Amino acid sequence: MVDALIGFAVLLGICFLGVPLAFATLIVGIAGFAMVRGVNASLVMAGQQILEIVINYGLSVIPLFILMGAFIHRANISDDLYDAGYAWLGRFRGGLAMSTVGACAGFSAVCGSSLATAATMSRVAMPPMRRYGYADSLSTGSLAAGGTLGIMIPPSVPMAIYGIVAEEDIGKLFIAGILPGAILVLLYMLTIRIQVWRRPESGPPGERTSWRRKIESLAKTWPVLALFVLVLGGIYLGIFTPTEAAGIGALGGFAFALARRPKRLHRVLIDCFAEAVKTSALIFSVAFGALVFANFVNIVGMPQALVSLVESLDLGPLAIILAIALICVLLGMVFESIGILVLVIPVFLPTLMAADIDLIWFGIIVIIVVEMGLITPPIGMNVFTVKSVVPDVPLTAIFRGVIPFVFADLVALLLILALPGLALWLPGLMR
Amino acid sequence: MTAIETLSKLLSGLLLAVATALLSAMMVLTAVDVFMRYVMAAPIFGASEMIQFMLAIVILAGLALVSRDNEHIVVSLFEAPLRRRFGRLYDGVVAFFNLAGSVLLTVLLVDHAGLVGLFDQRSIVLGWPLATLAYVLAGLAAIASFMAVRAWLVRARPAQHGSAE
Repeated sequence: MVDALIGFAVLLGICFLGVPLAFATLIVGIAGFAMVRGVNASLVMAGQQILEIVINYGLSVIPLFILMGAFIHRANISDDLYDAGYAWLGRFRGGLAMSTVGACAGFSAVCGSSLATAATMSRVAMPPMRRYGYADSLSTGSLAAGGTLGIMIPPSVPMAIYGIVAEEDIGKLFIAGILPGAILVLLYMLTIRIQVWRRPESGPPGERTSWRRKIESLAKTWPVLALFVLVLGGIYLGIFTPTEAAGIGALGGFAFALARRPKRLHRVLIDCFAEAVKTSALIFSVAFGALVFANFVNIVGMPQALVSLVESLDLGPLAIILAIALICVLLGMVFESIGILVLVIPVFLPTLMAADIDLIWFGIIVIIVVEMGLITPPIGMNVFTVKSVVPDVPLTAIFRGVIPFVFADLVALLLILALPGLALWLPGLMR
Repeated sequence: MTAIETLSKLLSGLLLAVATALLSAMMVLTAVDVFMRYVMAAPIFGASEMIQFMLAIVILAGLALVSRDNEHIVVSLFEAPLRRRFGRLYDGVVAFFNLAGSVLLTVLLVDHAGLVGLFDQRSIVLGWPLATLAYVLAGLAAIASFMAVRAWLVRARPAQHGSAE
């Protein structure tokens, strides 16, 4: 246990220096393992882990779903999503911010990344919100928080990573994320309503739109709906595996991107592939580094020590989950989502299994906690993503704007803790 | 430096072309496999293993591209104050760890390729040799190491400081 804690301390130190997370975990993991089992055993373990990760068939969903999101992003479907949101909600006070959340939810349904969702929707939604005189804190807060829906509403890259690490069915995890994702959307919209009720000047109403325009704008979002139904419907009905769904979804995204006939098509397609290849490489490198580190933590007996500790303290499942959630929140202040998942889950997996905790339910809880990490200081990667799109808005204003949404996340977390059926009902109906 | 830049550009173009081709193939192969299974009742033999091999090459090729642009995921909490305080020394330390990580990855993959080659380990369905794949991946990791050196040199040049960000 002490060895593992020293390993964690060294890892944090190196990471704080600015060393890439992937290499920091790899180097500390190999060095730690070598101290216990010798250099040769350590090299063999690390080489085997790396090869196993990069040829893992289940993980091929990651580049394919990222590719699907890149195609959809370049097809400018985000504008249509926002337009539809505005047509239906724009006339209400705070309606543009609610449209933003709705459009983020729509974009999340075809994109598994919260950063991509936040970046894309910031470019689309920020100009109209400024035109209507929305408070910067409300508009940027709704964008940063709306972006986090990218990892809750399936398909979701962190959910796929969790599925592999926890050896759970990725398809079931995706389906389990649908209801909590919808709840989060409603809670975010409610949060906006409460904010504009308290400060009406922060979100003035937009213009009314005719029913004809409402229907027309909604009809334009059919590619997103079609892809979502195809991908999730296929998984839900057991027609194809998540990897096959990802391949078909990417091909569908490719077709939509082609149909939109963007300018300089060749360049657009190369950008899509480059984005997918590089983002996937980043995720995989963090994953294999963290798994090598997790092997070191395992070999020094930390997971077993934790199981014994939990047994001696006689902690119930809820206390265990809350303790892990707290650790994830603390790590979320330093690490990004994938790093947290691959560092924390393997360590606590034996404890969770010993306590007979449903790992699909726990997966959804962890994803909400990770979402909170994306918008809480000091890292809050979504906040920085929004800031990069609107550099003139002070960082403090964005963080001030996301605070109410962190409370919404907390409410969602408590709801899912109290009512596991919210996450487990739909997967239970799967074939 | 010019020779390094030329080689870097050449390798980047090649890696992106290979990764794009393989990722496209993965996308088409999964879709066609589903079609063949349901419509023709004849799934593509070994499709999942082909995807596994392609995935590995895509990831390592991507890693080299990430190293070229110095786009690794880092904890940037103390980056600004450390850089202000230690300047080039700080950049040098970070660049050293970047290079060490890439070189370590290359060594691990070469070592493992030798090991799986020794036992002639192959994929289950297609019987493709894992050692060959591991050596290809080690080659790509070596390119990533070269890209890390290039990124270090770019950072070290005062006139172009930060251009690798």
